[in-house]
Amino acid sequence: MAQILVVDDSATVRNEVATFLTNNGFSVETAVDGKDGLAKASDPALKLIISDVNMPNMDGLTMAEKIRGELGNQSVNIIMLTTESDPRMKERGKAAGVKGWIVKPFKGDAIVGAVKKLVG
Amino acid sequence: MNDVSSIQSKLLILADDDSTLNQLGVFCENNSIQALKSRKRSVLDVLANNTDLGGIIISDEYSADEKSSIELIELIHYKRPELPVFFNTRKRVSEEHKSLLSGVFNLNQLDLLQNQIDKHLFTTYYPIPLIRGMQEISLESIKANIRNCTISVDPPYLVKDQIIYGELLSLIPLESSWYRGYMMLQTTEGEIKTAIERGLTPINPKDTDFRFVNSVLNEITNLIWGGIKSRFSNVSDNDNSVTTTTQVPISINHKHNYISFGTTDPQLCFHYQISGYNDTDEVIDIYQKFVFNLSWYPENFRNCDYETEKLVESGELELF
Repeated sequence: MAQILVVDDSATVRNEVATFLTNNGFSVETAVDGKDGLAKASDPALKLIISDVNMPNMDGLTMAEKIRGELGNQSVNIIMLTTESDPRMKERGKAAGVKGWIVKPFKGDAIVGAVKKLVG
Repeated sequence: MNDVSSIQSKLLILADDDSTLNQLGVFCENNSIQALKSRKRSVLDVLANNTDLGGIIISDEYSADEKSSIELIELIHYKRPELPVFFNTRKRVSEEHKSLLSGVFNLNQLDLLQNQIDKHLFTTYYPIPLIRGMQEISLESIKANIRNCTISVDPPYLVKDQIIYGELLSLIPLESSWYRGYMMLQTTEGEIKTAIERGLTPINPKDTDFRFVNSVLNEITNLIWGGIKSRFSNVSDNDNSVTTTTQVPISINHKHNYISFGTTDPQLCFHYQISGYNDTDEVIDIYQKFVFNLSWYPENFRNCDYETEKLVESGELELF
C-alpha cells in the first residue's frame, strides 16, 4: 500500500483528496502547509506527495525545493494540485523535480488515476 | 444562469404616490436599474434587509416611521452615508439638506436624474467578457464545493453599500498589470453547515465546527482567485509593478457590519443563490464583490483564454 502525503492549507481539499485515495486502497497522511509537509517528508516509506502551491508559512514549490535540496530526497514523487497554471510556476516546479501538475478544480477519478500512474 | 450583457444597479424607491412610483419604475427599467419599491414598512427595516443597494430615490410626499421625507433623508445619511440619495421634489431644498443629497430632481427632469445616477453609480467601465468570465469561473468553483445544487445568479450590479452580509466573509487580493484590488465573498454560516451535514461538500459531514464551515468558503474563494488569475491576470515576465506598488488599509467595524476599502467607488457585485441542497426551502446566498481600489485600467483588458490554447484541462495530470 503506497504511502501518500497530501499537503494543503484547505481542510476541504485535504479531506476530499484523502477520502478518494483511502477509498482506493492508499495510505494517506496530511499536512497543513509546506513547513508541515517538509517535516513529514523525511519518512522513507513515503512514495508520493500531492501538494498545493499557495500556502501560508511555506509554499509548495519551496517545500519541493527543500525536499530535494535540504533533505536530499530525490526518490519521492511530487505532484502539485493547485489553482495556479502560470507556465513560469510550472518551470520552477520542473526545476525542483516536481513530476506533474494538476490544476484545480479536480475530479476524484482524475486524482486516483494520476496517483496510480505514478506509484501504481 | 443568465447571460451577462450589461451591468445593473439596485435603487430603493421611497414614494407613496402611485403615479410617481410608476414613472420611476419605467425610468429604472429603461436605465439598467432594478427598482425596489417600499411603501409603509419601516425604512430602517428595509435598509437592514438590503445590504447591496446602489442608492435611494425618495419623494417629498413620502413619510414613514412618523418622519417626513427630509427627516428620513437625515436618518438615511446618518445610517448609510455611502448611499447616494436622489430627492424628487419641486420645493426649494436648503443648502444644509442639499449637502446630504447626491441629486435633486422632479418628474419632469428625468434626464437630470439619469445624469445624477450616472455620475454617482455608473462611473466605472467593466468589459463584458471580463464579468462574464468572472461569473463562469465562480459558478464552476461553487459547484466544485457544493454538489447536487442548483445555482441562480442575478445580473451583475453596482453597489455603493459597504455593509457586510451574513457572518462569513473571505477576502483575497486580485493583482495584475491592469487591475489591483480585492474579491470578497459574503455568506451565512447556518446554510453552509447544513450542506456539510448533508454530505454535499468535500468536508466530512461530522466536521461542522465553524472552522470547517470557513474552509468551504475559503476553497471557493481560492478556486475563483486561481481561475481569474489564469484567465485575466496578464502579468508579463518583467512586470514587478504588482509587488512594488501601493497598499491602503482595509477597515472593518464589527458593530456596524461595515467594511471600507478606502474608496467610495461602487463595487461590482454578483449574487448567487444556491438551492436544492436540502429538503426545505433554505437557500445559500453568496454575495461576491469586486473592489479594484488600487488600480483599474480596463483598456488593457486581455482575455488570456482567447490567446492561448489550453493544452491541459483543469483536473487532468500534466506530466513533466
